[in-house]
Amino acid sequence: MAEQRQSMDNYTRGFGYALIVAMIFNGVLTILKEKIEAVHDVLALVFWHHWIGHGVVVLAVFVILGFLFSKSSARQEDGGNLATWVIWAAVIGAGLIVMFFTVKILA
Amino acid sequence: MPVIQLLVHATVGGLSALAALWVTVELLNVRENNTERIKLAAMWTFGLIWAAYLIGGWFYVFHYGADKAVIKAGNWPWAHNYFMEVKEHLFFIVLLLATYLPIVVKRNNLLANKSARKLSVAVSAMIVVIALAMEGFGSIIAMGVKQGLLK
Repeated sequence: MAEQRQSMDNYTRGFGYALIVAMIFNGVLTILKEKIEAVHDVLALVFWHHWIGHGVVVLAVFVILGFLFSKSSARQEDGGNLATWVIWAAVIGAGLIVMFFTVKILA
Repeated sequence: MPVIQLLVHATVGGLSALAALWVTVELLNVRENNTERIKLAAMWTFGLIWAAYLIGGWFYVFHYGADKAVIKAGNWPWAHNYFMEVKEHLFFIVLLLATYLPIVVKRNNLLANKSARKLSVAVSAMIVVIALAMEGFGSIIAMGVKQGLLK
């Protein structure tokens, strides 16, 4: 099997970057929603339920940024690095949520 | 019907972890004759995670309020205050990963491209871990309701 490290196609790269942003944004939005009542209320007002709004906004960030990054002429990123960044983004995004609620319940 | 809905949510969630594990194992043993199977497994993972999200989301928005009141008045209020709060927000990470997985496996030559394989394994393995964590959290929340009802 002839294998090599290759650059990712545009959509894999673009949506990979968008995934990184969206996972961290999800953690940040969770904290903002819990700490600032207005953020929670606006999501609930616009989308009927704050959790529906949270999901719509996070998915919109992923899809919109994914298409934008895919169309941009960003440098060819090696997929190995992208995998590392995706793992770190998931750890940071999940860590923000877990740490926030851990601190909140211990307080 | 909400109870059936909740059971379907948990079952579909468990199956999604198995589907993601299927993707991971196939990727670690990639051959010419399993690349189509990897794409199929990735689509199953995508479909099952989305089904778990929509079914669980419907339950959460329309029926969970009553359960929440029971949990908070019971012996395990942290089943909601911690585990449900974390679960409902952590779910979006697994939803994003499951949406991204088919993009990676369908748009790259997994046989020749080591980087794409590495990325796919990372994404599918994280789906397995988070989906299993969701199952565990769900069990604790269900026990929280039981503790509330027994009080």
